[in-house]
Amino acid sequence: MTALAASWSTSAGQRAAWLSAGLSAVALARSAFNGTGATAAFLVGTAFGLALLGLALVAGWRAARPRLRSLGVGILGGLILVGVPELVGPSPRAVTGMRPDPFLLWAAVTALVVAAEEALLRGALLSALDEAAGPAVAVTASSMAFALMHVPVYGWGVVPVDLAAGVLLAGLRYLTGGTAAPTMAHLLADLATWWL
Amino acid sequence: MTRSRAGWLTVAAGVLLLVAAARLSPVWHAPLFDGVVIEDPYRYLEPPPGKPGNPTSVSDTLTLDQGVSPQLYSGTLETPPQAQMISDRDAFQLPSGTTSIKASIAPIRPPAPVTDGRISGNVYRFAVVNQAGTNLSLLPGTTITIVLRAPNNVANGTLIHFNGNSWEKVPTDNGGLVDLYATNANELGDYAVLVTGAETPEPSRLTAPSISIGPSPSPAPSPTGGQTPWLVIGLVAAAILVGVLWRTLGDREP
Repeated sequence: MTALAASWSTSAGQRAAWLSAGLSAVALARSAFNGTGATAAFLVGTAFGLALLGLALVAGWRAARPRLRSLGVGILGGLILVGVPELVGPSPRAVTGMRPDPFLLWAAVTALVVAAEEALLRGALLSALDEAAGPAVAVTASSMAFALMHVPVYGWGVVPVDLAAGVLLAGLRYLTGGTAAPTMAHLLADLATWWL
Repeated sequence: MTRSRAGWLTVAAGVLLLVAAARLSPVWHAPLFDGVVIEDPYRYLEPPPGKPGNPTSVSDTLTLDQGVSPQLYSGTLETPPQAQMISDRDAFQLPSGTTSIKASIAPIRPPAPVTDGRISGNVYRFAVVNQAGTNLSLLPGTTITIVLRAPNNVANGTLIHFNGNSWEKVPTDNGGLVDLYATNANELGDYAVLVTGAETPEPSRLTAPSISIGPSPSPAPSPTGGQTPWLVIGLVAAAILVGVLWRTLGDREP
């Protein structure tokens, strides 16, 4: 613990704290403004994605051209995210209302939200936490942030699976060095819910 | 520790956690919870002032699957459904001569008041019968997943089941949406969401006169026309942002 405290970098730590506060505010605002009906859902989803992307850009995250290997690793990660619950989870399924028509608009807004979440969580926040306190804290804290940010809209029941997914996505980030792989994996898992 | 080693270890930990989360979850969850969330206003059988009424009922007739009950999914017509039931294939004991089964879900007036807390939203009656109208029981060791949605943003609920004399709490899983509750039940019948504590928004009254178990009108579609310009503006803004990002893409990933 002493070593951990000693290694805490103030500027990176402050950046992580501000990012976490901004993330909390945006997630709560999303819950408050989500409203009802398809149009409201699309609008709020778009605004949510843009707000997260704005936070990540302000914090210094910049998109980089993805390597082909990163995209391949991301596809494998996506298959794991989709396949594991399918193979080992219980079979009955409830409808939760996350597939509003039309598909293309849903896919576009979902892609925006995914890219923004990855830019912020596995991009800006994970980098700041890693710089401040090392990879173990970075993985744990960013995954907890990922799980908790979904609670206001989806309930506490999503925490275990989203926490696990957050750890996996953070691993993809460390494996490839960029956010393309976790973004690809996350996008595949989200788009798969249309058919699952 | 090298970055690559940290990555492999973290991926392995993530897979193990994912397996554990999927194995331990009592009901199936989507791979991730994300994207666009849509939830229609809750429809009450006995609507409080200013709240919508006409909740839907559903009745599905299914033929047998090689002599056993087929996999069953049945849900009311709201988005997301206010009541759903889901079972695996071969979940029901079938009396001889059964050729088809009928699954029905209907909002009903509460059969009895609760002694602690308040019923939030409608009580729903879940039933599965054969073509002769005989109620079917679950086979020993099998369960049926009952899912109820509480009124919007009611997040402190527990599912209760009416045992013929009184209400009893059942193990409840909350997830998918903040106001969505599920249980793996051993029997069908009447289920509701119970809320306790100080704030229990949008209460369901016990004293309204009518009982409606028959099919109800479908809910009106959500309004979309009035906000379409904002939708277009938002998507154009997103497209511009993506374009700018693309133009300013930095170096390749390391």
